[in-house]
Amino acid sequence: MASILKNWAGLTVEKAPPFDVRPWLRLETYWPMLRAIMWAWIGFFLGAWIEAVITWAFDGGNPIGNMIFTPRAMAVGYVFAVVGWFLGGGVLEGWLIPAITGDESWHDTSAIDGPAKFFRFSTDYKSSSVRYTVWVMFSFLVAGLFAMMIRVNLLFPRLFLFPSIESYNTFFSAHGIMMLLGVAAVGLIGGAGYWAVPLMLGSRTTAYPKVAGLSWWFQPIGFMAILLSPLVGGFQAGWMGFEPLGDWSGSGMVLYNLGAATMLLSSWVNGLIFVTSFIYMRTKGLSLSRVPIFVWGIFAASVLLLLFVPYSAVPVLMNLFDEVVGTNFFGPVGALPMAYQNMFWWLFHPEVYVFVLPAWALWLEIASVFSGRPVFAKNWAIAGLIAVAVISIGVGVHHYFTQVKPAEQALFMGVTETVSVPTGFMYLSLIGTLWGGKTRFFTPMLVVLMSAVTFLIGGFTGVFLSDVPANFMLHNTFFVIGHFHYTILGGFLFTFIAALYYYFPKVTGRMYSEFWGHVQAWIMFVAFQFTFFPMFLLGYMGMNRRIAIYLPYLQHLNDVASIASFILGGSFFIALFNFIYSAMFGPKAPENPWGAKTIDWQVPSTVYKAEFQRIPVVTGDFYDPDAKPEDIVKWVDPEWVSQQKTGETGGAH
Amino acid sequence: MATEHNLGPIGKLGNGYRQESPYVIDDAPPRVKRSAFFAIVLAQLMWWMPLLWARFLYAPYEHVSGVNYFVWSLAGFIALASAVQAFRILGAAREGRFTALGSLLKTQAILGAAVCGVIIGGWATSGLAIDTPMGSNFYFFSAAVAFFFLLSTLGEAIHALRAGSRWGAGYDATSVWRVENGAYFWLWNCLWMFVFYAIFFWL
Repeated sequence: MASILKNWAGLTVEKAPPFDVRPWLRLETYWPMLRAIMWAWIGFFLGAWIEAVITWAFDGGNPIGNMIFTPRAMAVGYVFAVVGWFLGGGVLEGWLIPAITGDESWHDTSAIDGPAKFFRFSTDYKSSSVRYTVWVMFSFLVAGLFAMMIRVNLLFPRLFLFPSIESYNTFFSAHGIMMLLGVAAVGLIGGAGYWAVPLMLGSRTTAYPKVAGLSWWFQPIGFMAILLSPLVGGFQAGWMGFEPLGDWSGSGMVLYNLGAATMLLSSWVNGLIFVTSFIYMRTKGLSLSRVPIFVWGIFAASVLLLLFVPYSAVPVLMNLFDEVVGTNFFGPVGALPMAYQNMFWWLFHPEVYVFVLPAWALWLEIASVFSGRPVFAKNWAIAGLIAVAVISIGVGVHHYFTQVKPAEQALFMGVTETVSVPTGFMYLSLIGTLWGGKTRFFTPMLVVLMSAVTFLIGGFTGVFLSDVPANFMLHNTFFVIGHFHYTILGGFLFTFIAALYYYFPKVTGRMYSEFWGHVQAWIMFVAFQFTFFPMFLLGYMGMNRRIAIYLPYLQHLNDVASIASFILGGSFFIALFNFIYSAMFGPKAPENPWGAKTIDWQVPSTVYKAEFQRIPVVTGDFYDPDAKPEDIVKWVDPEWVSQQKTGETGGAH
Repeated sequence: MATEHNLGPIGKLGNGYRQESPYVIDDAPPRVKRSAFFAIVLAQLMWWMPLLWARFLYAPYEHVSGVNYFVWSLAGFIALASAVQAFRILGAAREGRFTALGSLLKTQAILGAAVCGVIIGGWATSGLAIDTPMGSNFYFFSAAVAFFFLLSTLGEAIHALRAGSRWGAGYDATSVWRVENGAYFWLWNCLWMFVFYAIFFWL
C-alpha cells in the first residue's frame, strides 16, 4: 500500500519506488551518442586531411602538419564532422537506411525504453524535449563558467585572470553566443516547447517528426565548435561576429561562423516544426480560440525564427566565405562591412523576442493554473504576442543608432518604443489573471512573479536605450549589459527555471523539494539584482562594455557585481542538485499536481512509451475555472478501433 | 491520391490514420505532410532574400563579365530538362504508376549530379575575380544554387534507391508524398536557378 505524505508546501505525494540505476550503468544506453562523438572526430580529421592533401597537391606544403588547421581545412573538416555526428547519433539507422529500404523497425520505441531513448536520434518529441533541456543546462553551465571568469577578472581594474586582452575578448564573445544560441534560443522552445506543444495540441507527434528529431543534433556540434575555437586562436569580434573585426581572427572565426550557423539552423528547424504543427496538427475541437496561450507564444516566436533566421545565417555564411574562399563581402577595403550589421540585426533583434514571447505566454499559463483563474483578456494577450512579433521586425536599427542618419534614428526610436504597448498587454493580462485569485505560491508561480518583476526593470531601461539622446550617452556601456541581462535572464532564464519546476512532476513522475525550490528562487532573485543592477550605475559612470581593464574608481561596484554573480551562479547548483536528487529519490508526484486543465496534464506520468492511445477531442475552454478537465477534453477511440469493434475491416491492410 | 482514403490502419498505435509501418508512431496523414511541406518550401524563400538584397546592394550597376557563358548556359539547359523530369515524376505519382518511379528518379538524380558538376566547371573556367563585389555575389549565389541542387540530388538518389530496391519497399499511395515533395523542391530549385540567371546575366 502506497504511503501518503505531505510535502513542505502541503501537497499530497506518495512514497515512490526506489530509483533503478542499472540502465544508467550500461554502455549500450549511451552507445549512439558515444558513436556520434567518435564519428564526428573521425569525420573532422578525414575532411580536414582531404582538404589539406588537395591543397598540397595543387599548392605544396605539409598536409600532415598545420595545414589541417587552416581556415579552409577546418571548414571542410567541420562539414564532415557534422555528417559523422548525425549518422553516428542514429540518423543512419533512423532515417537514411529506412528511407532507402522502407524498413522502419529501428523506430520500435517499445523496445527502447528507459534512459537509452535520450541518447539517440529519435522521432519522439518528448525525448527531444529532455535532450534539449539537459543540453541547455549543460550549455548554461559552460557559458556561465565563462561569465564567472569574466567577473573574476573584473574584480580588479587590471588584467587579472586572463593572460591577454585577446583571450578576454574570446571568452566574453564565446560567453555571449553560447548563452544566446545555445541557451536562450532553445531553452523554452526546445525544452518546454517540444514537451508541451504537441501534447497541448492533442497530437502524438509533431509535423515532420524526423526533422524535429534532428533539430537537437545541430546544437551540440555547433556549440562545441564555438567552445573549441580558443584552441585555434579564438575570435575577437564579439558574440555578433562583427566584421571587419572578424578578419583578424583566423581559424577561430571560422569555427565561430560554422558553430553559429549550425545553431541557427537548429532554431530554424524548430520554427518550421512548430509553425507547421500549430497549423496542421491540432486535434479535433481545438479551434484557434481554444489553443492554449503557451502554444500561441511558441507559435509567435516560431514565425520569427522561420522568417528571420536566414537573415542572420546568410551574413554569417558570407563571413565564412570571406574567411575560407576569398570573397570580399565585409572586408575593410572594397567591401561593405556595415552591411553585416544591417543584415545581422534583421534576425537578432526579433531573436530577443524569440526568447521572451514563449516566456510571457508561460507566465500566463502558470499564473492561470496557480491562481485558479482564467487567463485575463486572453485574446488581447494573443494580440500582444503577435503585435510584439510583428513590431520587433522593424527595430533592429536601434542597436546601431550611432551609425545611421538622424531621420532614421527618429523613425526607429518611434518603432522601438511602440513595442512597449503590446508588451503592456501581457502585463495587464498577468495582473488581471492574478487579481482576485487565491494564488498558490508553489515554486513555479514564485519564479514567474520574480521573472515579471525583473523583466519589467529590463523593459524600463530599454526605454532609455531606445531614446536616441540617452542612447548616444549609454551606447556600448555597461548600462546595455545590465539592460539585456535583465530582459533575457529575467524574462527567459527565470521562466525557463519556472518551467523546469512546473513540468518536473510530469516529466519524471516525481516531486522536487519545494523547500529547496523556494530557497533557490530567493537566492537567485536577490543575487541577480545585486549582480546586474550595479551595471546600470557603472554604465552611467562611464564604464564601457567589452573591456578587461577599467579605471580604478569603478572597482567598488564591479566588486559588488562580481561577488553577487558568484552567489547567483551558486544558486543554480541548488536547483541542479534539487532536480537530480528528486529525480532519483523524490516522492511520487500526483499525475496532475497543479490541477491544470490543458491536455499535457491529462496524460499519465511519465508519458513516454505508448503515448495516449485514445484521441483527445476538445469540447470546452481550458481556462474555464468552473469546468473539470473531463468536461473540456473527451477521450475517444480512434476511428479504426471503432470500425474494428463494429466488425468493419480497415481496408487494404 | 485516388485510393488513399480506402486504406486502413496497420499497427496498434494508429489514431485513425494509416500507419506507414507497424513501428512508426506517425499520426500525420499524407495530406498534412503535403501541406506542411508547402510551408517548408515557402519558408525557403527567406534564404534567398538576403542574397537578392546583397546582389543589388553590393554591385547595383554592374554586370557579370569574364565568365564562361557556354558552361553556365549548359547548366541552365540541364536544369530545365530536370524540371521537365520533375513534372513527369509528379505525373507518375499522381496517376499511381509507382513502378515507373524508379527509372524516372534515377534519371533525375543523374541530371542533378550533372547540374552540380557543370556549375563546378563554370567556377573553374570563370575569370571573374572572387574578391570583387560582383564576384563575391556571383560565386556565393551560384554556390547556394549548387548546394540546394546537391541536397535535392541526394534526396532523389535515396528515393530512386528505395523505388527500385531489392527489399521491395518501393512506394505506395501513402508513402509517395515523399517523392512528390522531392519533385516540388526540385522545381523550387529550378526557379531559383532561373532567378540566378535573371539577376546576374539579364539585369
